Amino acid sequence: MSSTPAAADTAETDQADLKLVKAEPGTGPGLITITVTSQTFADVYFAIKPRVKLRRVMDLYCGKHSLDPKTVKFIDDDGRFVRSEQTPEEVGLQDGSTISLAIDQQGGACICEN
Amino acid sequence: SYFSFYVCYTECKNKRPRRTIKPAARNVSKSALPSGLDALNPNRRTLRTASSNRDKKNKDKLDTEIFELYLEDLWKDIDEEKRSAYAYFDSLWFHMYTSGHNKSNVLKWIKAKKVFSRQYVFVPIVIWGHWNLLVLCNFGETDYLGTDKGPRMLLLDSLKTTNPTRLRSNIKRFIADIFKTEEREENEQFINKICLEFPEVPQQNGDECGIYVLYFIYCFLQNKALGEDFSQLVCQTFPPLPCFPFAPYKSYANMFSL
Repeated sequence: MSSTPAAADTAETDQADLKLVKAEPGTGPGLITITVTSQTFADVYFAIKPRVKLRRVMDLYCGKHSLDPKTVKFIDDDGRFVRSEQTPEEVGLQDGSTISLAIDQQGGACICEN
Repeated sequence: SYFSFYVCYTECKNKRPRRTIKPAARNVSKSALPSGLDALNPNRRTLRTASSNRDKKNKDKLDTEIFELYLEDLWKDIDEEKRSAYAYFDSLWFHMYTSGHNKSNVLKWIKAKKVFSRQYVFVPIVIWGHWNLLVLCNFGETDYLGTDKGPRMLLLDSLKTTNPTRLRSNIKRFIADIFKTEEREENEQFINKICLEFPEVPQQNGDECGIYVLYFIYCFLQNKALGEDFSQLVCQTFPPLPCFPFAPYKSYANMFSL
């Protein structure tokens, strides 16, 4: 893809700010706001385009909290697991949607033989 | 486009004051958190050594990621009639319910599974480092309470030497909340009469209780007659473990470099 010039990026950011002030979903230039919630961390808000892969959100969130992306799972509002290759459009996320974080669990108890 | 995304990330980050946050797992690295630019650098991500509550010793234990993928594949192989008569919960739901986080969300997801119109509902339970399988049988047949065709619960545990009843209170609370979410008319007396049974199942040798849970679900799915009496189910459902197809499990393990 071709990289957009810096002026266009700044204009895009201004458009995002205007959208957030008006609080009208879908009126911005294609950006939606996704909230990632978990039990132990504060909510984190991401602005992302609906066709960008969610891997970026996951990697940024895991980097922010020093988590290994392999050991966490992201669950959308309908209880389905979100894969990192999916886009918000495929998952069905809209402006203001929430993704929950869950730590992967392991099970492997065994008998200790003396 | 990376720069554009980083600008948006900075904007969102500045709108919220920074707080001291406790990490989720004790094994999380104590080093400083990577900055935004470091997080966006693909090469630096591979250097991150922090991981949550697991190390190389846990390589052989089954985790929820592989479990979910394998259970999805098991579900694809059954016919349409069984797919509508059976249902299964995600393996993380019971843990999320017991830890209190997202309890209302978990109950909302369970309601979407329509437990009371299913014949069998499989609830994988991974808690305290051990896998169990809870099977909810005939929950919609409330008129037959107390008989073989009535509602009952089976806890299949491949490690009977531990106390299997330690999960009883959690399961009772879980079932009561399911009834409450579905707004059923049954009262608490009815819920207490649903018996929780511990049938004899093949016991594990090593630490493969997760594989045994998949194996139990597989045996239920392989059962030919839908309306088979459960008393016969105990004897016939569980052939020896070598019948279980292990090959797909190995392929998943390779996929995730375990």
